[in-house]
Amino acid sequence: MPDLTFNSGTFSLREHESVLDCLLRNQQIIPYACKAGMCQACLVKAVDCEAPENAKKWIKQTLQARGYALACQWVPDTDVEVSLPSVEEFAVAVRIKSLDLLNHRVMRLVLDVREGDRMFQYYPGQYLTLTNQDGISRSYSIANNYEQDHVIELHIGQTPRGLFSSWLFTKARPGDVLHIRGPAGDCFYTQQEQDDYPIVLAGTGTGLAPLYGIIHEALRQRHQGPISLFHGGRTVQDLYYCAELSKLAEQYPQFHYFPSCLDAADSIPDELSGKLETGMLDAVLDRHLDTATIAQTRVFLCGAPELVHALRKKIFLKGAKSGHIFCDPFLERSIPGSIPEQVGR
Amino acid sequence: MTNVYEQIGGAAAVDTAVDIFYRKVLSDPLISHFFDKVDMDRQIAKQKSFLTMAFGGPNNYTGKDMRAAHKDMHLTEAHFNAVAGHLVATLEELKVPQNLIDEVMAIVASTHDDVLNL
Repeated sequence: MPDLTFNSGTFSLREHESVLDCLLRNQQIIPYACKAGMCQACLVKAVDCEAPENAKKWIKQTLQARGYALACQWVPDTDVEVSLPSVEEFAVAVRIKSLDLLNHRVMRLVLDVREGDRMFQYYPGQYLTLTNQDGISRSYSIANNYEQDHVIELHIGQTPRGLFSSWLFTKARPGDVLHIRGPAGDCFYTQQEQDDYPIVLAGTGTGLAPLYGIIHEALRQRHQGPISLFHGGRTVQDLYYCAELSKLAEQYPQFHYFPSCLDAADSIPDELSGKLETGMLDAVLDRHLDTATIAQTRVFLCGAPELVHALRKKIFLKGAKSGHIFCDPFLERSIPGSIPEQVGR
Repeated sequence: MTNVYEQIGGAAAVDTAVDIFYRKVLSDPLISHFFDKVDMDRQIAKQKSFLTMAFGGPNNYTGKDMRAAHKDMHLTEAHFNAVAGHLVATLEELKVPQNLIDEVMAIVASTHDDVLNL
């Protein structure tokens, strides 16, 4: 089998083994998160060799041209050497500005881009990959517009035994430095030929983060068509930003907010009174989806993969164009000996 | 002489056709379960290259890929005919003239043995 050289160590690759899996098997330290080519945390540079097309196609052409590839997608059939990208070259250092709880298990993380650092372009709804001082990387969706707020807002759900979220909920403090890479993802608002098409957004839990960013961006760009948000939780306590979203619906007549939860709530907060529905998110969506305009509607879905895929199929079958449905499924990864951690946002 | 692909409008026609075709396939209980576990983006991309090929457009189709993609699915004549039927219905819906539909179906028929792994 071919050899893999990394940090002056050489390891023997197993059959069909990716560069990333081989490095992890040999206890090498390399950031990674999704193992599916999406988060781009495991970017490596090919040293005196060439990565195959399927390991490169995920990343920007400018990076490809400089010999970069994704370790999780690269299964070598000859000897190869790789190195980690230098942090200075790719990551932007950010400082934690504030941390506050949005509900019993969601933290709002606000990041200051440090003075002197180059700024980067992104669309609300895209995601960033964060790396903390322990080298743990996770991807999270952007919930706001940087141009407007001059900070980056992310919503992070607490995951039992999740390495990053545990660190964030117990140890992280304002002033701590993190490194971010990205942005990536194609789940965002763009004003096309017209600004009056309907927008439907649906998600559960912290799936609200990108949707919240997209809604604000659409309103900021004076989108005229109806914008309907379906946010679901298991219980009413899993919802958040209820007051902000209710207020937004009062302020903008084109914006409609449909909160729902699976279990009937014992007590309903004032801001949700008369609004909160009970049932599966897809059933709630069914009740309100306007099938007359579905062929023009842009749809944004974010949350657990099974939910996103089920909703997508349903909405497509109702007549939405496949190219108009934008999805951001949370990717999941199993860590041996632990409950699967949600890598996604 | 231009082929069907050019006559019906090239890549733009494929984009329109793929949604109609895939919606029919997903709504057909005989075959929809084959698509439950597959990623829709990837599936639509595959259907697009299949339609492009069926319309005689630019493609790098090989019978070997078609064979591998359908291996171990235990497909029968009925499954093949169902998909072919949805394609005819799609083209009719798009008002493609009958002589062109016939040409497309001749290409589809040529994939029969590879799809069913015969």
